[in-house]
Amino acid sequence: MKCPTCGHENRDGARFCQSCGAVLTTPAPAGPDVAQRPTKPLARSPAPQAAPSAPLSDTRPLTQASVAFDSLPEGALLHDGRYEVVEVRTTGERLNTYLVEDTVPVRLCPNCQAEIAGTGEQFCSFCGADLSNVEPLHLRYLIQESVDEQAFAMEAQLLQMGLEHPGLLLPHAVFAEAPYGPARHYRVGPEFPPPLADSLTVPQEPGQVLEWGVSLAQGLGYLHRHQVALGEIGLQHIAVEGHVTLSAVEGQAARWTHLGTARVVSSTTQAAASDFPHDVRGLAAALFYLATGQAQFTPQAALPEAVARHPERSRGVFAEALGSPQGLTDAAAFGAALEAALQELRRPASVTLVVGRRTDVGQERSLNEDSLLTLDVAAVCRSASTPVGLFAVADGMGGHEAGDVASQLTVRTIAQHAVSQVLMPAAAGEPLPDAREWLSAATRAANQAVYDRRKAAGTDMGTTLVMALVVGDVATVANVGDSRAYLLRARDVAQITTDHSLVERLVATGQITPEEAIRHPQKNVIYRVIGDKPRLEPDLFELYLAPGEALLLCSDGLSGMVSGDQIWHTWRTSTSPQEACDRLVELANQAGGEDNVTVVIVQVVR
Amino acid sequence: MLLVLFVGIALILWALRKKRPRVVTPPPPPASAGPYLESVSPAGSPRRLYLKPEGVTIGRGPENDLVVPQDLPGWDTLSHQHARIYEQAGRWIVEDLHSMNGIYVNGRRTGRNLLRDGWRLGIGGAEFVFHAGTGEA
Repeated sequence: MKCPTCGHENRDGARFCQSCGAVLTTPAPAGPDVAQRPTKPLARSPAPQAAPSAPLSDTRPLTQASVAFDSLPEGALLHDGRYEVVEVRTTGERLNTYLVEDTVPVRLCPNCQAEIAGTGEQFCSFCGADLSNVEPLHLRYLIQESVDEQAFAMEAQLLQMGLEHPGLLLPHAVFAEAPYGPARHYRVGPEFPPPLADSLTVPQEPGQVLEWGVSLAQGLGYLHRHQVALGEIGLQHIAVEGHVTLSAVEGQAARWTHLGTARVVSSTTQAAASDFPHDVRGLAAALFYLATGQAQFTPQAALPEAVARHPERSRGVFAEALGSPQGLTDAAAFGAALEAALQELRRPASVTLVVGRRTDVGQERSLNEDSLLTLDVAAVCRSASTPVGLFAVADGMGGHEAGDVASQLTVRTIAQHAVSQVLMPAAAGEPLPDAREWLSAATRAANQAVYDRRKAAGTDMGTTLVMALVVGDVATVANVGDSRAYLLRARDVAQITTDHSLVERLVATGQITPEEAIRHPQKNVIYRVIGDKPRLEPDLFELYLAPGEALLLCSDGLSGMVSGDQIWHTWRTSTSPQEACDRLVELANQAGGEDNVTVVIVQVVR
Repeated sequence: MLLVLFVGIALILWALRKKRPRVVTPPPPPASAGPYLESVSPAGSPRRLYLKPEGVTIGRGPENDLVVPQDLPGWDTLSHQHARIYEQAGRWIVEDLHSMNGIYVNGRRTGRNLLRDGWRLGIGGAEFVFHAGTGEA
């Protein structure tokens, strides 16, 4: 008889399809062999002890009774009643997923975050913390339900081996059960699984990829030591944590997950010769794709800027692992090579900063309300130099005894913070604070100082602030208001900051053109100012300065008078940053000098 | 002396009788207080099968705690011993006892399932609605 579900031809009288397990019902008049088949408990055994006085007729089979792989209803209980289905998430022909709640309560240790099952223990079995006041929780999980016997078999085996590593994300549990019909296979995973690498856009930031690579290589080495080969490696086997930005890379790791295709190798020597190197190359190819967006490795592949900055090491790692068959074949060695490349990527290059600065009252004002700050230290030891510098331009507003006070107060507050928190550690050779956090904190401190002074004086003082913390060739820029930072490159100029001005918003929303903005009557109106509100966060930008490139900070007395192209041209035709600053102030004054003009240029020289 | 005692007893009795109306005796719980299954049938009045926290077995066989009446639609699709319903930690649970036609909660086949007030329960082809009743759980 033919299966109505899959069309497979089964023997006559078969109850279930041999191919897909669907219930086979005989057409039209119910075949006697189906209808008369008794149910198990009573009628199957004509044993006298169960026989009541009047024997019951056999059960009539329901035509719609199916043992097909349908999803279970809400409230279904799995794993001996331990997990309760809260919600059916997805259904499919071979795979369903459920959101479940663990009916066994756990308590989370407030000290070490360990999960303590049950409510009996008074103290954490991991760290000894007191648990008597900790409320028990019912944790939720995502359960995958598969018709395929082999679907989670490998992961079950890995769980049984007791494998545990920060580079591994194994399921919480794997079990098999038959709610009805044939057995189904279950994988219990976290309620919010981390995204898989195949959901990411490429290319990813190279430092990030290298960091993932280190933890994946360590996890792979751990698996290999336990004689487990992954076999097939794809982005769907890599779980990545957290959201990814250019600099937010602290503590982000990637882990191996969904290891259904892994296998335990019998002979370590044979595996070390072929299976393990195959895994390492698979990992290297996945990382290379994430870093470049290219599926095929070529030695000339265009690596993103940051890798190109240190081409030797980063490129070398991939070339060694992917470029030749005898290359890096050991997971631990590959991990060490990635770590070395990461170290080099994160270490600022040995460069020199050349600084120019100039401020001028302009042609029309009687008072210069701009302030500027340049601070830098360069300790050159054994010819290696990682200079640290802080540069700021503040454009005060509010008139005499107001704007000049605001910009001065801002610059002085920041200078004090910089000396104690950045230059001191830099002088001592100690680690520097995180650039973004420090710049935000310094901006808040300046804002608080100006805000307090404004409240006390009862004026409308305020100031813009654009500042850059430069460590080696990495610059982090913070901005509030309409003073600007430009990156001056060999071929062009790029504006780094976005003005917090009314006209900028009008341009952004398409209400006026950039040309109209230059002559707009309200072009001086800005909506984010130091000293205006008690709370304030700056915009933050991070950029690399290649040798020869320069960072320019200026007040709108320059950017309002001189175009970006003119600025670039003047810089390119000057012999030093100082000469460029002098000429730019002159240009602004020639163009009218409507406002105070301030400019700082920091050039990176190898 | 005897008379005083007699009057005293009479007084006490009288006082008790006066107080009696103040004592509000709760009305006896209606038979429908506990959880039950109510049959869903197009014709005729719905039938109720009352459940017990310690658990009941349901089927056509007379050895069951709840023997499904023969006039219920779908009666012949039940196995002799079909399902068990019991209470555990305040939750009502239905369990398929390897029946031929299975159990269905809200139209989907299942093996072991929670029952919540108002949920539909199919035991083979017989349709019921679970009522948690007025008691706990």
